[in-house]
Amino acid sequence: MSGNALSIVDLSITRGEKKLYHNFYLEAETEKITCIIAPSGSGKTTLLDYIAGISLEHADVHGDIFFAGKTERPAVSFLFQEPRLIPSADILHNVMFPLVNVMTRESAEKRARLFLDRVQLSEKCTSLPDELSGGERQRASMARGFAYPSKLLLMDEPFQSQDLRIKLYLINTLRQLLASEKRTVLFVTHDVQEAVILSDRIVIMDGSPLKVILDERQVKKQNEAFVKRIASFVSGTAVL
Amino acid sequence: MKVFTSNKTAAYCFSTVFLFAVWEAAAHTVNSPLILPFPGEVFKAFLLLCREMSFWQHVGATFMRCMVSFILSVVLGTGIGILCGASSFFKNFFSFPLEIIRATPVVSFILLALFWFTSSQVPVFVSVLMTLPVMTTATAQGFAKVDSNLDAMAHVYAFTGKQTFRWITLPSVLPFFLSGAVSAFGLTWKVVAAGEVLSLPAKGVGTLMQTAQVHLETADVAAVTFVIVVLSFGLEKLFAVIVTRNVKRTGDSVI
Repeated sequence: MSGNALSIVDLSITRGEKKLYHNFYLEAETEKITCIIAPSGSGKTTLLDYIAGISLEHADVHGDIFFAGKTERPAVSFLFQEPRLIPSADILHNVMFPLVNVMTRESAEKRARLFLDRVQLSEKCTSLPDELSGGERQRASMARGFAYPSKLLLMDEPFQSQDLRIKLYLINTLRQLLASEKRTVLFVTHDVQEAVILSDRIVIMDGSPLKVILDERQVKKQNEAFVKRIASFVSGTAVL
Repeated sequence: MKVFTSNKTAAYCFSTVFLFAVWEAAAHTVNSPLILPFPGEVFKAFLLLCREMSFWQHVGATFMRCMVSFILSVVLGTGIGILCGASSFFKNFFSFPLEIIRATPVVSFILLALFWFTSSQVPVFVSVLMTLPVMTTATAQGFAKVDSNLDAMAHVYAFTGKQTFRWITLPSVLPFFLSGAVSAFGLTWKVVAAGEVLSLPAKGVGTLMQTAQVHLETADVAAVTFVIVVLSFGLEKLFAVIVTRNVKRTGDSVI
């Protein structure tokens, strides 16, 4: 499990009568962007909530989760569908809130300002979330996620409610942040374009309960194995 | 906006003049100060009362009872409201007793309380009892309205309990709590005065009203009622202004 920052083993989640997951397995490679594509309302957010340790109300949950082979949950950053900023606090404080608990106040402010600058919101530090546009709020949420010192970043369709121009701008900002701040990313979406642009590996899930129907890593492995077998056959060391 | 404000003020003034005109006309029609005194007579009675030191002692005693019962109601109501908001067990547990309190007439509690407490304590006890459901419901509603999405965010980013309370729970609960407190404050005056009328403590505006009523001094009864209305209305408005200012100020504090 050393190459995987995240491993979900034999997960079953039942909500009411509905089985969302049953004997479900998933791994996310360290510092890679794994993108999960699944239909809307199928339980993608539930999976991310489970990984983040958010209690799943009215749900029966069984299974194991390992973070880099350990059961202890590390610090996790989360880009939600909505920015989830605290309305009564300005943007700088919104980014600082998680930081002041893990570093000094001076370091927290410095780091918050650095990441707000990276998402080009340094001039809006003192603005309240309501005073920002939807795209700016989501950038502030990104700044909070990246400023927080975590190895794992969960993204739950953070560009969903944005128009195309802002969506592309946000994706570009995210790529720049990921280039400088390496994270293991688990990104769920139902938008294939977003997945293709951002991901290192795409996992397609469908059905009820949800299961993996196509995993790019498996396809690549199968292709590599096939190529190897061809190569062996051509060199005469193996028989197809 | 300015036009709207001046229209509102004009409407208030017109309404006040209209009420006094109706009162004056009705007093002329009845033509019996014992049944309905003229506004002028009531005003004279009010001025005479204001000159007497004992009148202010009565007002002071009622004011103290109101403050004590209001503070007790806020403390108890907030505590029970927090329990009800945090746990569905407590919500169901307190639901029935609070419904009984809501459905019971004030006078029943006053008459029962006369068996249990001294005449001075009865108004306080009854007032706490009647305002408790208001405070409890308001606080519990505020807790129920806490944004679960923000709560989840706070959990993921490992907010401290203090941060979660200050920035997520409090902003949600505070408007409901303050609205409940303002309503409870207004109700306190009415219930305390009613309690005093029936329990007759040594000092209190209710006692004053009851004494005036027994002596058929209708103008005095109306004058004391006028004082209660002014104090209740004025202090309720003052309280509302203070809490609104404090709510605005909480947004300025930092982590």
